[in-house]
Amino acid sequence: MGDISNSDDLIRRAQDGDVHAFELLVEAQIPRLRRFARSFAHNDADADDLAQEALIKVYRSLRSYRFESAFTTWLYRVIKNCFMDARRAADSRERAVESLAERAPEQVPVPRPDEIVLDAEARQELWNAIAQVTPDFRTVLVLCDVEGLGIGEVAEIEKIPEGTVKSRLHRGRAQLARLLQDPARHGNQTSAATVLPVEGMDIP
Amino acid sequence: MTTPASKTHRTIDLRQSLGALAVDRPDDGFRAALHRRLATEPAPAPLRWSDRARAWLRDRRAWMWPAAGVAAGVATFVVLVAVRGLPAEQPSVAVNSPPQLVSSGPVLPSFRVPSAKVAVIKLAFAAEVAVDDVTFAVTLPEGLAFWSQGKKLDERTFRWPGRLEAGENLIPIAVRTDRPGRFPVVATVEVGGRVLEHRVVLDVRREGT
Repeated sequence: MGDISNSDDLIRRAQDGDVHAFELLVEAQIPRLRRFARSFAHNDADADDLAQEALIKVYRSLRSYRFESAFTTWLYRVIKNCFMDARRAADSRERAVESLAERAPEQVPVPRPDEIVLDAEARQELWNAIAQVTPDFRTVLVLCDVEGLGIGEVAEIEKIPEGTVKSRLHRGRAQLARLLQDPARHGNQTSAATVLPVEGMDIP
Repeated sequence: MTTPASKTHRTIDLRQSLGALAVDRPDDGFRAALHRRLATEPAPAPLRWSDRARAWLRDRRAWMWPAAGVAAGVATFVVLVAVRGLPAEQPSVAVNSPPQLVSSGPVLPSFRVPSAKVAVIKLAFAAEVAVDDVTFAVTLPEGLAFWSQGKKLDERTFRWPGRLEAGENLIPIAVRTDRPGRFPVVATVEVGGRVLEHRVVLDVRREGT
């Protein structure tokens, strides 16, 4: 992850409403954030809209950053929550989310998992498959395997133990491999993924 | 057939495929559009007090209860209500049966706690068998308040349905008062028409007295 730990001044300026400081602050992360957004969107254009929306929310909530963790850790945490919220809202608006399952398997040029994906079309299909992985697994999968973040970094972003990150990563990879092998059979993962654990009732 | 070696090979290749996705896309006007949107945004709003309190509590949720317990010190006490061998065939018709006091364990009549601090009451309902469909209730007297999410709650009584597991069922309740006094707390569990009730007294004193 890019080291912007010495950017406290930029953060403070951004917190005071300096848009240019904010842009400098997130500049290095933009390519990654756009890719991260792609795993929650149907295509590149939607991903860019989602990334922009998330960055606007980050800007609005900048004052809640209290310098207790690396800025990038906080940034990814906020961004991820925005993506999850957007995904849930989209799912509730329209259940008929485009998925690999809704198209005949023979029309889907799904790359074999043992191929290195290089061409644009195959890349889109791989993203589409990733978008069907259960969100908690997907986040870890993208941050670790696509973006190359370390287990410890992802654990900090997700606020979960490293062992849980490893477990989610393993299960995410397995789910993705199954999706790539048989998209029709596993195409309904999106709806299952929207069922989130509900926290226990507040003790009175 | 998939051999372990081929599985490993495929996993590595899948990771390579994923790694190959890390290609920076052309800007396509992304930054310009972001700039335009940011330019219309007001400066980030300062956090409201309630947001700050919520964030503080959220960050500490995992250890908040035990920490409160430690801070409360002698304020933490245990009410033990034993539900012994409730027969499954017991009819649940004794709606108007009088409250039956059933208690065991080291229950003291009075507990001294400092004022202006959150005290955690740990209700330990012990059951020899698991019991479905029970109703817990805790009633506080005037002057003593339930405390949740960093706020005082107005309700005097909380009732909620639940289930008793075989063994000990610990239910922490956070309460607080700002004035000294003796406050009787009533905790009940309704099981099959029977009301098991226990009363304890919270003796709230100013610190140092």
